[in-house]
Amino acid sequence: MNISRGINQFVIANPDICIGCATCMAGCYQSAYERGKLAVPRLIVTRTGSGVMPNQCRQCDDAPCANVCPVGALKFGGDFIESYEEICIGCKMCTLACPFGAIRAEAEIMPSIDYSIIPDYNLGLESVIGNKSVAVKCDLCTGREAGPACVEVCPTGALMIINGTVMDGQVVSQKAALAVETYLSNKKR
Amino acid sequence: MTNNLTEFATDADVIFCMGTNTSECHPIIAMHMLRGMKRGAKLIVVDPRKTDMAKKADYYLQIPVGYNIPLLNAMMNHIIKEKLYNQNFIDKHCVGFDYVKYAVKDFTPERVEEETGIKASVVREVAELYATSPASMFAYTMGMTQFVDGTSNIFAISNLALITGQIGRPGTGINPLRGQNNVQGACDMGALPHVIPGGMVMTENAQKQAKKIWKCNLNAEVGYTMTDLPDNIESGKVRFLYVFGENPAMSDPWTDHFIHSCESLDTFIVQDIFFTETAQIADLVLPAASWAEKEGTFLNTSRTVQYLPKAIEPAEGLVPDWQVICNIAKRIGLYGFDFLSAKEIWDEVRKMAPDQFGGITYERIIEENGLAWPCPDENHPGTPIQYTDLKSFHPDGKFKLIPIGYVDGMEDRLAYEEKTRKDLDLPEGYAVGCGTMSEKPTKVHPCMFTTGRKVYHYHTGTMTRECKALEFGADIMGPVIEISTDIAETTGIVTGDYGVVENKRGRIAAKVLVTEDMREGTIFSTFHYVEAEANKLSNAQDKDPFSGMNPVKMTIAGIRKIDEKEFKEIRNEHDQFMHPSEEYRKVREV
Repeated sequence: MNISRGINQFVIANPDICIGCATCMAGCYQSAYERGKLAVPRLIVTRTGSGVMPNQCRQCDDAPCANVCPVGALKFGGDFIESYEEICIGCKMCTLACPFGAIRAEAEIMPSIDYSIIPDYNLGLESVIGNKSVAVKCDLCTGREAGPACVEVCPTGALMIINGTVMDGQVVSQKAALAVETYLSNKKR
Repeated sequence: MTNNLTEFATDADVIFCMGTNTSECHPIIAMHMLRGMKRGAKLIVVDPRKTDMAKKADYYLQIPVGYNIPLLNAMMNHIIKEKLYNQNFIDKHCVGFDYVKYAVKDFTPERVEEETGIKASVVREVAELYATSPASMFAYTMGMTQFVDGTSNIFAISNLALITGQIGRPGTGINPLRGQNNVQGACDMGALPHVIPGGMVMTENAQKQAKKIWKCNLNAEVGYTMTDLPDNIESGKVRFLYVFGENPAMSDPWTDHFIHSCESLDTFIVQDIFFTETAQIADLVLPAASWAEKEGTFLNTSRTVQYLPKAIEPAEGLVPDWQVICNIAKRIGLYGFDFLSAKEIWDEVRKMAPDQFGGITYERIIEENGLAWPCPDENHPGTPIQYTDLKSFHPDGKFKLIPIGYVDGMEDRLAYEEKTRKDLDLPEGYAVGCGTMSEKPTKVHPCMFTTGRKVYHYHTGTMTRECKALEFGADIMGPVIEISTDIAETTGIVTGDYGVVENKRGRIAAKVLVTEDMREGTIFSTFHYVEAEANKLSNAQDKDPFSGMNPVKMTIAGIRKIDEKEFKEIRNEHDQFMHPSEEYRKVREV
């Protein structure tokens, strides 16, 4: 079976074993910082009435964000949606188009100021007029040798990478085999 | 903990979590609990906030803040009514079952439903599940202890575990999840007003050991607790304070009172790795070696002594904490501080408390990757599970069941105790516990206010807020005031508004998050953030009669919406109070 050859790969969490510890967000921040990207986390641990898990880009094959981006800052790549923060104009169309809330317009705070101890800190960027925001989303830690930092640091193993191979071998084939086997064995009985 | 924390994963059939936000405050233990659930264990969570663990639980009971004893008593009421208790265990190993029967008789599951809205059927099911499972493990933290009836809360847990015989086997027991890597160790080492390694100061054994090893007569008088400190400073009883690696200006309840009281000190020394808020009001600030720069042992929540080697050498001019203390002691001219290494200190601990630590040598700790006390000799395997012989620490070896009641106000507690003593004809010195609310909502302050932690910060954030990946990566919210939906409705506040929470002790301003996870009429905030620190409002006036603990987890407050201008004013005023040095405020903004 080759139905999933060429699909985009993506990171996703298993909510059953996620404990909401936000280590992924810390890892994400650190990876972005080290790779010279905007130093903000690209996946957000989200709490709802039913549970908790990180939410991030699904790298849609026909991605609305890449379709809508007027300058090519979000682009169809080989097996994920590439993001070029340096040419983003901050129009925020991708934020509107994304069905998962996985792209945010963000600006970095001034690295030389320790906002954590100044009173305006929690006004956050609202208090700083004139920031230019750019679209940030999960870029699968492009350029990081060990792959996505979040997957590496997750202490419970809740985060995983799904790609064509995983999709074929561990998802589709296995489920298909189980379905057929169940049907056949029931029939025999 | 009576048991080992890994038993949540390997042995427990029912995990009962009360007053613990396990996945945020003890993520490692939460992982063990989830592994246990995968194995088939049932999870019961009791908390005013629907925490992440509550959302994964099989049963979740959203009690009002402080409604611990009535719920536990109602469970016991049902267990006794349905005869689900362990008669054999009670007959052989416990005293006072009649006292418990007397104390819980009025607490029916129906009463819980009437008072809280939690279905009586759920209370009954939870009670049956806990009582009848082969192994039930009870876990709790500060959501049980930091109340005026904290000790009584724990008595109630103990009663429940004992009458159902859920103790002394793998996957059972009473398990306080300790909040710091070495808080169990600090208590065992005697960082308390009434204990030395070797026992309570008034006991014969402690007196004997002190004489033998420390060559001194130990003062048998119990000291005062930390919660009495501010008052004792103000009354002139304490004039010299040395704070070592702690930030009480933020972590102690009623911030303003603590800071004001410190002004009366003659000398105030703070030793820390960062310039904390407490350091900023000190007369003298000394640097210290960080945790990675010193070797020694930690004693974790499972009573396991663990070895931690140092990762790096201390910065120039710094020495490990034990050397600092020894140096001071030697300059005072005290005997017995000529240690050359942390190991020598540990060996003295082993001599002081041989029954507990005698067999726990440095070599064994390292080789066996930690050993749990009691471990009296070098061939003893350690004790990961306590009470396997079903004998208590009391001289007669029996477990005591304590009558625990619940009354309407603090002033009624004494009357309850007297009545109970008379009705039950209790022996001299037998404890009676009684729960109550320390404060009740008023017209001006109509909400319950409780405090807690977020997963990405630790306590007052002295270290974690200096870590950029945590401060800017994991924590994108900053300080928030979480309110229940009914408060949002009555006040017209929506998520994202600025709000100020205030009561007679102080006020904090922060962004508001309206959440359905909160019990109605409840406000929650954290004590990590100096700019909006929940302990400004905490109650430091009332105390638990047994332990002296303040009801840090329960006070009353009012909330109102404010605009950005007022928000900034409050923040500035607060900033100047917490960071009094003009120079400091200037320097940090460069």
